Amino acid sequence: MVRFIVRRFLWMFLVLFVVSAITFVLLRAVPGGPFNSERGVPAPVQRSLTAKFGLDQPLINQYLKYVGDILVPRITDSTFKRTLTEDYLINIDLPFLGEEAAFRWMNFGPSLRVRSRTVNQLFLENLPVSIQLGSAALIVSLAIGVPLGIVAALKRNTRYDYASMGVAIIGVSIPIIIMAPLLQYFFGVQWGTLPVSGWGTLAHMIMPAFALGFAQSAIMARLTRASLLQVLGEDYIRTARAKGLSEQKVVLVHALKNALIPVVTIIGPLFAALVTGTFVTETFFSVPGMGRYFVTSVTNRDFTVVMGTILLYAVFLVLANLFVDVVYAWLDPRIRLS
Amino acid sequence: MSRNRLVGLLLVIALLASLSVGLVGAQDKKILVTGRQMGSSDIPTIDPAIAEDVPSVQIIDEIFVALARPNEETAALGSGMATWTVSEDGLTYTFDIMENVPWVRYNAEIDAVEQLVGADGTPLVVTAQDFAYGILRSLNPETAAPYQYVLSPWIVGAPEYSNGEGAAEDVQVAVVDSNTLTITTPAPSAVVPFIFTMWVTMAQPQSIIEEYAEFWIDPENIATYGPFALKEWVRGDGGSLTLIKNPLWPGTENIPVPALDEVVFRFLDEEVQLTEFEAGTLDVAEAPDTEYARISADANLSASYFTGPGTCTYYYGFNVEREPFNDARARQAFSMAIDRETLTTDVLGAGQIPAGLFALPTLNAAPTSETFPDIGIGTDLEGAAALWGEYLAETGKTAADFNLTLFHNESGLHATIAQAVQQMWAETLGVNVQIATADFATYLDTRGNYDVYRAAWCYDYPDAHNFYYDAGWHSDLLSENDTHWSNADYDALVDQAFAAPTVEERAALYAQADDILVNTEAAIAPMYYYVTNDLTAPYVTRTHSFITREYYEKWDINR
Repeated sequence: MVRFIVRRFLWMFLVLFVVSAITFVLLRAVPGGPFNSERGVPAPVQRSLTAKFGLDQPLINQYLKYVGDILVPRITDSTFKRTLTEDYLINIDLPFLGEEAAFRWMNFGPSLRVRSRTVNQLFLENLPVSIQLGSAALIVSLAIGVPLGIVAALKRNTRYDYASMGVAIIGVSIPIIIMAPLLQYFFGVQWGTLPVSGWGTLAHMIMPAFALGFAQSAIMARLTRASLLQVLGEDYIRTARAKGLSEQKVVLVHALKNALIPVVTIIGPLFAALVTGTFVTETFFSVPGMGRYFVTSVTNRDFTVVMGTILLYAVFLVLANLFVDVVYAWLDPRIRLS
Repeated sequence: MSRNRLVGLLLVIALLASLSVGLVGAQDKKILVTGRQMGSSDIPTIDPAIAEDVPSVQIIDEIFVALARPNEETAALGSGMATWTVSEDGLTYTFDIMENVPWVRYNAEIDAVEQLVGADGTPLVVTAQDFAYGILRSLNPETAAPYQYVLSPWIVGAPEYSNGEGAAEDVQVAVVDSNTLTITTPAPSAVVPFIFTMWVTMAQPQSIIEEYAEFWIDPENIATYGPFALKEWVRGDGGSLTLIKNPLWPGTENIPVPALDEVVFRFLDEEVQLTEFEAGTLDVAEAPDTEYARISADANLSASYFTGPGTCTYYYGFNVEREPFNDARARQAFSMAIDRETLTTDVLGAGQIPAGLFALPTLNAAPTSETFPDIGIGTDLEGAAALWGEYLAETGKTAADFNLTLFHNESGLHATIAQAVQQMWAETLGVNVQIATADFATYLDTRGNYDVYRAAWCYDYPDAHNFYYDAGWHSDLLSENDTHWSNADYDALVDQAFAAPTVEERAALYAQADDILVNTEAAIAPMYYYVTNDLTAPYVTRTHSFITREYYEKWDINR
């Protein structure tokens, strides 16, 4: 198990390396740069901007510097001053090495467009918001989807089944661009029970988490239903029933545990997608998360932010899949990690 | 009742009590909540040296004050932090800066704005040295300020310094004493004072900037002196920025002490702002152009609705290096064939004004169709067809020979406008024009390679010079001009207008220049002037600015 996890971590670094190289090359291949503006930027200004952010260096040097700033840790003394180009994600004081000595690691660089912000700050301030929203949405989707799926499977081809699957179909058919304004109109404007947009309190979280989670719950419900139906037909379930176990115990302990394996499989990538920011939901509800940066940084050619967000997404994706693999082994001991 | 339960109950009561105290406190304060649409998810900066966009400048103008300040309702020039005199040769400006204006910062621990003290314990006030430092920092090539080129031509020695070829000492900005600053400009012009309304000329706190580097604008580090101070800044789309009244601002006739206690800017898309406004959670909202029909049909919304002059001119640029637009007649014909009336009323319909001249009529020294009725371009479908026919006959070509492309960026109403114009050109001139689109960055990089491109020019300072010179039509700026057009007569007129002493003389010269640009040479086709649309709750007393930023110190709330 430990060897498995260690090996997956090593693979992750390789994946990140490839992802970063491809992203870097693609970004520079498209026309337009971060300093373009409608009014036209005169050559001297363009020169000082590119020089300030090192974009006048050869591409390979830029890439090596970027990777180096992230990977290579530094030990700094009291002469260190935090600036836009030297802002580290991990800062640990080392009092035994002298006053103000510190270990610093992972500098993702400054945003080229938002001229007062580093990619680290964006991770520290906006990522937690997306993680909160994404986690809440995931909980909503599980809380709605799994029970619906169980009911539908147990009461197969009855009106309970049709009703459950009907709800699921509605969830998957109403896109967030319809759901969000409807929720905002009724709960925000007409009844005034919930804030229309913004972030900060639990009340702010309800509508976006529901809108996001409800759509996903439909997938969960259908998966749970199909999988549970299949498991319920297995021999060992018949054995469990023959032993005289209560129906409740048969379903919840013996059947459901195995039936959830496909659900867990999609939770991994879904979690990575939800917690690194969801553009449409965050835009509709004006949630200060990561979602919008994914899109605006590309259209703005904000090279460092694009690199940072893509790498972040890759890390989450790899970690979530690793987590899923570990959960597999727990759900079904026949699956061996090696 | 067990002891634990009792303690729990007491805690809940205490919590409720503190909440209600908080609510009562909040009601006493005058807090204005306003929406702001952010192009790129956040206010990019509030550093006066680095700002280049309207939302940034809005905040900067309230927490710093420039030497001069335009009136937001008339664009007339008034004093800001200084009054000034001009030497007889018109070259040296002497600014007399207000005394004892403190540098302040909001202290979250005591929930109050307090004056900053220097390392030696003396209270800090704004001095001429702070302004000189600010100007030089904006020009410093290491600052890499996008607006250095707008400022540098106006100060002797500045272009060389900002290009990295000259020294800071040679920039003619001199500190005479702690409240007197002199600035020497290379040529006399009535435009000069407008330059000193710009953010790049504001005072900046040297010691704070040196200590915190680029992070000096964070709320816990910043030092400001304007009528408001920075209280809080939640970054990102959906975030907010809160300004708090600066009680230490002395107040002047132009810039009074604010009546409002706080102004909260919420970064929201216009559509969300409208919903929030309907829910009663925004006091002021920007109104989306696309929702005009719904707003005017709703009694409550239309009562809160206001349309005023905007800050931009929308136009199409013709690439004069490509056929048929290498001939002025073809350009004229295409411009005249655009039915501006139909465009503004039927296609846009939110109060936009058809444009026959390039410069916005509200600017200082700008010619208008009223004062100069014989200049500029107008819609003339028959004239357009005749001119186009003449061009075709002379060159021996037919309309079908041309495979033209109109290029715009993917955003807002550009596509709708392009389709309407495409149809107008097909009907009047018989030319089928293709439409190509791209995202904004690609569009900016490549628009000079197409036959026609859409663009808009929005002013930086409310003087016509910004339109006729800085927009790129003067041959000094040919490398940034994507029509690739230049004209010696136009250059001469703009140069003369620059030096002319009175507003009337300048407007007359600009009128001739504009006529060359849009009519006789028709390098561009001006289409319409923007409007600003907003919604204001009935209990808000306010001014309506048309200089891109509001001055909230003149606003009030009376619920």
